[in-house]
Amino acid sequence: MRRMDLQGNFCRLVVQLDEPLEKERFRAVLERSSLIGWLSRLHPTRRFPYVSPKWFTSDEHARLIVREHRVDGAVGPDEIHPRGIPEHTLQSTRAPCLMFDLLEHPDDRMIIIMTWHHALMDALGAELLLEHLDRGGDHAGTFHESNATAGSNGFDSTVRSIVDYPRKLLAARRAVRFVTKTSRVPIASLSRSRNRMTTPRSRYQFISFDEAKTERIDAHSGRIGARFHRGLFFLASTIRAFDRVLSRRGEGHGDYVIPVPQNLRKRGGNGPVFSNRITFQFFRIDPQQTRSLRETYHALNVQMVDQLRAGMPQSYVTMMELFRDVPLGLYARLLRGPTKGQLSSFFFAYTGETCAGMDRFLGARVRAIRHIAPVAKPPGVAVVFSRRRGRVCATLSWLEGCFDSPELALFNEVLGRELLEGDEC
Amino acid sequence: MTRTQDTSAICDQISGFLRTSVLDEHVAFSRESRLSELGVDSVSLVELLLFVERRFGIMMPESEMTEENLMSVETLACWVLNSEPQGGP
Repeated sequence: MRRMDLQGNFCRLVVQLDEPLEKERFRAVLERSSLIGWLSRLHPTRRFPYVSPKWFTSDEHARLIVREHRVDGAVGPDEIHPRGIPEHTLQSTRAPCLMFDLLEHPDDRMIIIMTWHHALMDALGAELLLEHLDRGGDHAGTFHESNATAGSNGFDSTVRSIVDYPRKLLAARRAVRFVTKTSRVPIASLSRSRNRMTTPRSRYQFISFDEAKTERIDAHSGRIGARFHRGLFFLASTIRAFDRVLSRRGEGHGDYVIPVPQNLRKRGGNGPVFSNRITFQFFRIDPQQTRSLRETYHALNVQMVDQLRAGMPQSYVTMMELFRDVPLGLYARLLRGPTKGQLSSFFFAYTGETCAGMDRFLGARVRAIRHIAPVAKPPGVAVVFSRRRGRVCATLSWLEGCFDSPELALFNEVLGRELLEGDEC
Repeated sequence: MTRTQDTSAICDQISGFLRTSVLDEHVAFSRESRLSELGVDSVSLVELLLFVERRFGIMMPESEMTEENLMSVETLACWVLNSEPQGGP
């Protein structure tokens, strides 16, 4: 069977509960939810070259995977499991592309890990799904969903796709030129190995700031001029932290190239859950622009406004529609070609307030909800900032080999300092 | 037109953009609604300001991106009105 995805395209949402959750109640909610039933039977398949992959529903693999784990021994408050996150058993080409792990800790804490293939949902879709489950798996309220298979099994054919190619190519050319130019080598990278034959283990780290530190961070971002663009402020701080690590290595490095997802959904709505409703903005920062946090932020801000003014995000969507039609091997070559396989320096996202208002999940008190982004090789590193009850938090995920222990400690130290004080220290 | 009518006309245009391009159809809002509470985030705020730039020929400088100016459709409309060239046809 042909592979449908690039390596490492599985996402995770981690829900940390301070109280026990009735497992049978959780299973009952999953079974009652027609949305979960539908999502768990979906899988993408490409039947013909140059035709977009289609979503099919499978009865054969309709079994929803819910695994239970008992964690023995003490674990830290932000630790999921002493041996790391349980490996998932999902495959992108067969259902289910979604699964759950329940981890019971000895002190009655429970952790729910939702794992899914990136093409099935984006981060916000996963949060909306969680909120749907918290409502007992019903569809009350303004929840709305698109039927993935009804439209996509219809009209598209090889001939129609090829006929539509010139139009898409014209609409996408601006994005193709821009992304090619932005992603040119050399690109700064923490990844030491270009060997794609082996898959290093994924590691993660949760970073949290309390209320007092969050106030300091928000005040600091305001003084930098980032009152309304906190995401760019977090990105600027992250770039500066990476720059310190790379400088410590003493190696010359290229510019920082960072793709940042942007939600395409209309704001204030309650869906849809299914599929990726995102586009990307691409940022390129010369190390010379990282001399101060203010300068880094300003450079990012200018690039963001310029891209939006030029309509780049929409052009990028058309470009991705075009690339979805090509066979995976060609797609991979097109993607990696301009960057000589490096793709980017790291992945970054700011997801805002996570599941606002969800103090309890199915009655159990929620301690934290965090996204763990997939880390593909390269670049092998992903940073996701978010807020929980207004407090700033972040998840750093990386492939083994990208950081050694002193570098990880340095990254954490510098990131914290940049967020709290930056140029003022 | 009176100043009130000018503000109202600008509010209508800004509200129209929010309704068609930014906000979900189920979101009810008035010109006094706080944009942040409607779900208008940093990217959609930039898109809103770019709309103002295209429609009214004025780009809000960073120094004037304050909570007062960007609180609601009405405060943004007032800023647009106060930023227009004095006099004119």
